[in-house]
Amino acid sequence: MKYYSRYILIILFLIQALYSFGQNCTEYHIDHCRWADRSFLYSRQSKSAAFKPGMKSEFSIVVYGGEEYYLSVDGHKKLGNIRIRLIEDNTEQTILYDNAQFKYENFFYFKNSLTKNLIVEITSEVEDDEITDDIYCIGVLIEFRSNTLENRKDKLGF
Amino acid sequence: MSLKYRLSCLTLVLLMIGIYACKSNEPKENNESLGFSNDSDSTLIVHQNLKSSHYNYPSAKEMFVFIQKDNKLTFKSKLLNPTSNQSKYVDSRSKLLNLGVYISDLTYMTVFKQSKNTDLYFETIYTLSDQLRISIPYSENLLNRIKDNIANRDSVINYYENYSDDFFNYLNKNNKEHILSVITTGSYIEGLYILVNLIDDFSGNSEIIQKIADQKYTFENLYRNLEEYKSDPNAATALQYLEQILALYNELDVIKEPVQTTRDKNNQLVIDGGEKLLFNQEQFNQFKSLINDQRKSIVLNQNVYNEQ
Repeated sequence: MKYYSRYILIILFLIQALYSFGQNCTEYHIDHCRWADRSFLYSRQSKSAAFKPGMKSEFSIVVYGGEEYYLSVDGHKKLGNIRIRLIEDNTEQTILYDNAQFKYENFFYFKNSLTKNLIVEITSEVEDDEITDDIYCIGVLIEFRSNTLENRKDKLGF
Repeated sequence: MSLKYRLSCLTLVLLMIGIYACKSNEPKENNESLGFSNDSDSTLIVHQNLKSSHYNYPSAKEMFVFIQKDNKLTFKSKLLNPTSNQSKYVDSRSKLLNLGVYISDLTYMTVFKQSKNTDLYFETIYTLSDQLRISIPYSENLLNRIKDNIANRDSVINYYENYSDDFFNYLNKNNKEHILSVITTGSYIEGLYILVNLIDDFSGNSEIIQKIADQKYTFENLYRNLEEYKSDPNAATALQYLEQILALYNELDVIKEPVQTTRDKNNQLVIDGGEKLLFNQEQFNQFKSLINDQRKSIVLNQNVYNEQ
């Protein structure tokens, strides 16, 4: 009986170790970011990543002309304020949006007239003494819809 | 075994569960890929599933969705790659590229709300995925549900749309981004093939022609993404297809307007300006010819490029 209990403990340890090892951030945006209403469609350009407090990272997306986009971000509380900047992906690198100017709002909408590449830059903003080597998940959810009213007739009235 | 010992064991187990619950969203290793870029090689061993792409690209659905509002465009079943061609795909390159082709075909069918034969196309996608060892856990059940509900158009479309998102999330989660990029190459070429062949008469101002020109940005991002896997023979072949397409895109005229942001009456951010790409008729004909040739070589499994 004594040996039996030990085996159970070892097996439980192994299961726990394997389960923890398998954790990843890949679907963090799906489970944690705030979603827009159902008139928006999920964009496969949505992304999650592993982050350390205080770090910055970016990725490039394509936004089509004549469409409306919704961006939502969420990260572990240890990552502090999550700053999102939308930057023109060319030599000028014009900053088109910065949520630091809007109290670090964690979602926003925008309309886009011509198709272009944009850089989505994400920064974890923490105090210097909060910078650690610990790793947490962060997610950026992107949704879109045609911004013409004709495409949303079902949304009019009751 | 004493009660004290049993209680100790129970406490230990509960403690482990507690630790796991608190840490469930915290990757444990410090030497894993951080951020959204692909610049860390040290990550490949420990947490491959955290590796993420710097260049993102939209799905075939995002490419097609605008045609829903164009009443002049009609569904043309002859543009689909027949499911009978599946037997021609015996190597991994043709399986990957044509999996992308069939995904675009099924997306095209669902955008036009065509449910006829969707089960055959879904079954072909399922078979090719299975042969490539891309096994979405519930896809066999889903295939049966689609067959059972084939008369219910909305259900079939809904099943497929959910499956499509899960399919791509599965590949990302399992660090198969290089496979995803090759599949997407097939998907994009099929998407362009359908779009260019939906046009009967060329008009430089038409929305569909503009949309085809706009795909340059998605092809650029896909190309940059694939470049990271160019040592893979299938990715190298896909790159050759994309290089030819991008060469023609780079010849288009460009009208540049300064990018500026404003707020509309609802205080919503509006991004105006940028670069508008323009086809003339000759360029469009050349482009259409290239896309038709590339698509033919993919669906008939004629590798026109030398293996690297």
